[in-house]
Amino acid sequence: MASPTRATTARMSRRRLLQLLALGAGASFIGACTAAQPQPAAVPPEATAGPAASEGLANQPVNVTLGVGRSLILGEEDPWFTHSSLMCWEPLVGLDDRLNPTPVLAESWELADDNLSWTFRLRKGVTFSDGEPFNGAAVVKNIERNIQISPRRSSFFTMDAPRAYGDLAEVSAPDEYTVVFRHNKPFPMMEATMSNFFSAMFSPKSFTAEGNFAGIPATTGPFKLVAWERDQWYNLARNEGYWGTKAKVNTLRFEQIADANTRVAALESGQVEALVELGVLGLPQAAALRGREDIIVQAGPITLAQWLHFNCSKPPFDDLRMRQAVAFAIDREVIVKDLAFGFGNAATGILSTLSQRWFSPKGIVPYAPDRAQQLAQAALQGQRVEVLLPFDPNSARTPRELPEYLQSLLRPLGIDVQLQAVEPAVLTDMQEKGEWQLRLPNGFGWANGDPDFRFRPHLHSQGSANVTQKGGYRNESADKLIDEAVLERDYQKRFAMCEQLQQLAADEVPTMVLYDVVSPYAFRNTISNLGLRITYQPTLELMEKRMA
Amino acid sequence: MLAALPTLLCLTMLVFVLTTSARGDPALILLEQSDQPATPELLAFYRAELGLDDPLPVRYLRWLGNALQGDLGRSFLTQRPVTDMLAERVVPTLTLGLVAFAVATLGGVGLGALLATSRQPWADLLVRLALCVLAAIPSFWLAIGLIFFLGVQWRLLPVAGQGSWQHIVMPAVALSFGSMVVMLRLTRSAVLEVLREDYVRTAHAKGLAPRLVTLRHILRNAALPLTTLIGMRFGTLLTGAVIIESIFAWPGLGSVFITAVAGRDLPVIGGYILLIGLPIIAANLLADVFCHALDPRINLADTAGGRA
Repeated sequence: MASPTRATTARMSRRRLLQLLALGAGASFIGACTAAQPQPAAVPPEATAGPAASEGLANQPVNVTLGVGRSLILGEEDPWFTHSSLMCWEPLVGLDDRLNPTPVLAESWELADDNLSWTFRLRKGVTFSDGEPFNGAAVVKNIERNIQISPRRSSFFTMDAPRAYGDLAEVSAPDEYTVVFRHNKPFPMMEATMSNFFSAMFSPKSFTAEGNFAGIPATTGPFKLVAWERDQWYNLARNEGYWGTKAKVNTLRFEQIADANTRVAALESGQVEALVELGVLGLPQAAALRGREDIIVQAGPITLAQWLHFNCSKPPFDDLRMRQAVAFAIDREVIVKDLAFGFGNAATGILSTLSQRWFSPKGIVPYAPDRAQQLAQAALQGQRVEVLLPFDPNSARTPRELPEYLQSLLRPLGIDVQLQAVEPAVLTDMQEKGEWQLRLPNGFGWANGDPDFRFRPHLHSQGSANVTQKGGYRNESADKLIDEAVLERDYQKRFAMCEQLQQLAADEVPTMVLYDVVSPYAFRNTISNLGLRITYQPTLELMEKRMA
Repeated sequence: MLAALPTLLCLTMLVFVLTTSARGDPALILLEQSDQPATPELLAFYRAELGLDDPLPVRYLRWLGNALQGDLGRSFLTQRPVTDMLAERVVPTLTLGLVAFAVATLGGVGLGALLATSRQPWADLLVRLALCVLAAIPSFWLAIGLIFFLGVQWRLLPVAGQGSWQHIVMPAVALSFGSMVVMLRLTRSAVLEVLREDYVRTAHAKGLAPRLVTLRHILRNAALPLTTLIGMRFGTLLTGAVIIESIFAWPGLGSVFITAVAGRDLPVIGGYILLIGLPIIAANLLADVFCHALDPRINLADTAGGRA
């Protein structure tokens, strides 16, 4: 039996221990709760001092909170720091809503007669948010830095200098507002490759000697990043010194919510006022929100597409007739209307009608079920064939019922589609190993609007869909046309080549576009003028808010 | 404590082997996130830069060697040091885990003891029936229900994120509920068991106040199985936070782990397992120590020897 003294000491110790534990837990809890407090104080006074452009009280700052699902800031290690959707940085060249290169920080550009140099004339009177002037020297510094860090991984857009700038011999600024790129080999498609990420401009003072970012970079866009907590929230303030029309709202706060249902709940509860970004709203969720008074659902066409790829190196799709049979059997209007909740435009060929410059109706694959039946019968001779279609059942982009729809659609043709639901990583692996006969990719869009960005991956024998994902399509004529087209500077001649390639894609169907994606987004009825550009950028600078 | 080291080593080896043998090429997964084609040239570059061309034992030993020096490598996905990524997420996860642990322990033990000693058969029956139903509710389902009612319908609490004490209420309740029900049932059974013991009857017969009998004799003796359970449940609460953190956008280790698993981000997965493994092993060790303190007849050396 313990003596009273020892027992008392033991009780005292336990009590003391408990007190210490409670104190530690409490301190930890308070610390954790306060550590990640939003930092409105970090927004500089000038960001909120201007007159409110939106409806409501004249001098009240207009602040909007938006919800996003993915990281739009990757930080110092990333080549771009922020995604273009945040509208902090601007490129020399942008894309308009018909995928034409359009001036942003460069006012004009031209290719020299010898095809070996591009001259970009820059916008005057632009300054970075740190007060540094935007000029030829800044552009040269940015391009040199991009070459220095290339290749650099990024889940936004990999920095790949040869792909961006071709075989570059030199970049120079002969005067303050002119930049000249001299090439060793002709690179006529540079106006397209320079669009968006590859010509993003940052203040030269934003870089370290190694080419990384030294903290938040200074930029020229309508908004500037003020504070952020990785994968949690980002605070943006209006750039009061913006060269163009100033944004209507004073500050933006983005809250990153990974779970799709929680994002919608946050919108419904008013914690966020808008969900607008690529993939931020699932198709069924958007459909369910339609018709509400307090929430407005809209949709905008973007460059993503839902594809159907054929494995041309394996039976039965090594037989052209079978690929054509499947292509003719699919009613793309039905897929859009019934499976994608109307959020799509039935495809018109390998190039979308969104591309004003390059689309040709010769690339249209018709819906012809009778012809599909005849082709399948001729190829299969009454036999049935089994094909494997692996898919990710939780994909936010692919309509959930699309694999089953294809399965039922192809059964009358004699094709038994074996569906295999797998997680995304396994799906990637199966594609890399060629363990598929049909697949439904929708991974990358049409970042620069140039037709080569669509032709090469899918039609060239060395393209990613045919090599990395083992699509196995080979056609020497297609290879030759694709390689020649990127060197052709004359628009008419290049258009003729592109037309041939569109026709070839429709005739040989190594792949087909089922529909061009129309991305839904939603916002509370206090918000207006919020749209989505074809390059996934929300029209943040036009957005207005009705104040209570 | 030394026995924990081989356990940790085996854990990391197992995780490394299982993760690398799982299907999925981290280089291609990463490249497919980028809005551009996965050209063979870029894929080769990604694979080389991530060190995926080296044999598995070489990669494991390299990782282990660096880990022993406190360097857990860089994330495949974010390119950031894993130690930085985990360090900034530890506090939120621990906070949530500790709050949920406190709710589960206080709620479970308190209510369980109250039920056992209440001598209200109808209340006991009612609560037991309710518990049977509630114990079947998965935490993610409860989380969705809480969001719907408390966040969307009544707008009492924020549905996602971190920033104030209100943000932790729903995730903590959702995370602790399952553990609380288990603890409540075990406490009730253990207390009822002890209530029948002779020494309790003797204590009452001696004229001790009922409160003192409950605290000194009943709860102390019933605490033995509870302590073991509480130790084990602490680990469950930490690891179980993965889904809850994801649902509530709580910026803890859970979302980092989910993203890492989906992207086969081996350095982050290894670091996470190491980080989570340590407190779980420590919690179990502590539970053993507490058991010994509560009942000196339990011999830790024998237990350890038996395990060894």
